[in-house]
Amino acid sequence: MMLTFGAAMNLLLSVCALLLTLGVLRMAFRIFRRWNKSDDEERHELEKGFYLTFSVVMVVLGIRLFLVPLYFWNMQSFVPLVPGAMCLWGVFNALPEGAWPSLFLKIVLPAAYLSWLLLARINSSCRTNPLIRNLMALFMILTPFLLIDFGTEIYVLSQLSPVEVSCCSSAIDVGTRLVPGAIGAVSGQTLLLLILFPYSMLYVASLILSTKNRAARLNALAITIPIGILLVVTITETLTPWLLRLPFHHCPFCLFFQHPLSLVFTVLFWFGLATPWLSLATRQLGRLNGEAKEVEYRLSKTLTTYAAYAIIIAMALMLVDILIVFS
Amino acid sequence: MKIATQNLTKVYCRGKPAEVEAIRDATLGIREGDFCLLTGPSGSGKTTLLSLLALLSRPTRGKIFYENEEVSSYSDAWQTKIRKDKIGFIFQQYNLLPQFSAWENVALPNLCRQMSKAERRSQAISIMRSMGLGERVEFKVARLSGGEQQRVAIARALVTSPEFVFADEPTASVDEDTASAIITLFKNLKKEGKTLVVSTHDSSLIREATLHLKIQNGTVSRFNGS
Repeated sequence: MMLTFGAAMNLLLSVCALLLTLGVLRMAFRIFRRWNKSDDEERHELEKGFYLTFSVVMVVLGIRLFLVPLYFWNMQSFVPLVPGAMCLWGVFNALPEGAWPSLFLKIVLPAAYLSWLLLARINSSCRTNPLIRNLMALFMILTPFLLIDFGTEIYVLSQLSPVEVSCCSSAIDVGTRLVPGAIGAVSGQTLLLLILFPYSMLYVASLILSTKNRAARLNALAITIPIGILLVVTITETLTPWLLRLPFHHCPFCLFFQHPLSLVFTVLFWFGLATPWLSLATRQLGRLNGEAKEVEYRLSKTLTTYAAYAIIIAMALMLVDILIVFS
Repeated sequence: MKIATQNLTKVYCRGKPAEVEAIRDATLGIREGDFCLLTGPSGSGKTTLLSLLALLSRPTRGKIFYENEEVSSYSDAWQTKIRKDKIGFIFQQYNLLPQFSAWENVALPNLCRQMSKAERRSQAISIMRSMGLGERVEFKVARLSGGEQQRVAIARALVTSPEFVFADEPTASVDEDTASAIITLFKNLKKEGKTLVVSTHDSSLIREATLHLKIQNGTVSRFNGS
């Protein structure tokens, strides 16, 4: 165990949030079970319980989202302590059975947490709390994932030890690359950027149109997958070697650490690409109708606008980063 | 109808030996600008009906409508918003905060509004002056007489210019002069077009009422005797 101040803080917050989650689970189940069967007076009692549960879940999910950057910051701080590690890649390989699943969870689960928080926002904007039952059911569905998320994090931070590991270049930079050196007169790396930028603009256009047009909404959803893949490939194949000025190095963890701006535009891209899925999840999981549907529509419109801005800002930052390095 | 109820029922201590049906299937309507009087013997359910109508407690069954919107099904947060924006309530026992001065008590409902302290203070003092409490602005409420405390409580209920004013026996525990001042105040509120719902034993208010409801053992009926 490598106990630093950050790791101790991370562990403490994880354990507290874990206990809070378990603490309100029973009440959430009771509200879920009784809500549709209760009369006005019992509903009022259940509603009081809901406000407590809701506040606790907000705190838990808030902690969970706050722990994502803290966790990566902690793992990064372990780099000098793990022999052979040059970046997060090495640290993750010091405990691969826990660290890699944990990384996956930290990329995917925040979308689920944000989805719950969005539904909660819709519920509190409505007059009659139409989503209480859905929120409690979703919290119970989320609980195992929360437990796994907390569990892997606690496991990684408590079990990680300074064992010797191989450096990222020994794994990432070997073998044939995904992108050919040149296609026609244009290098494969440049071509990736030339595809990513117009494709992202097309996505932004679909996002803007999606508030009015169902086909555009479906189009935006469909585009997120190829853009996501394209982004990952562009980061590893083009941006990492270019921005690090190491033509044969492709480790994104090295890039994020040495070029914090790249982390900012990656997170903005993540938000921009996750938004249509968040809206879809909110609509489907909430089974919205009436006032809730109207509120969701307004909220989704705002979020979509933010997502479009996020993608545009991310592209601008990417371009700025490239121009700074090459100027 | 400004306020209406449909089969409103409130049962206390449900399922216990001490179960009481305080209000039974009350269906009533109060129009805009009505001066509605609730009368009935002690323990008949006047305070319960008032607190149900003012959204201070939840019915066991039945519905409450404000301007044809069913507000009894609203969430706690939205009912609180309605209470904040539309309702002034005068409690029988004043419910003032003794550690605060008279003007601070009057200004309390404005704490959750976008107002500066100076604005809150000047608004509170202005309404207190109009009620003859200009000399008592800085007094702690514990130092005020019962009548003055009641007027502070009324000022607190009116400081937000609510659409609906509910008063629970406002003249029950004050002397004759204060009672007559309070009655004059209600007459003025009626002239201003406020919707008033007042529970009382005071016969002098009956003449002013545009709607007189009588409650007997939780059953509400329209009184046609006057």
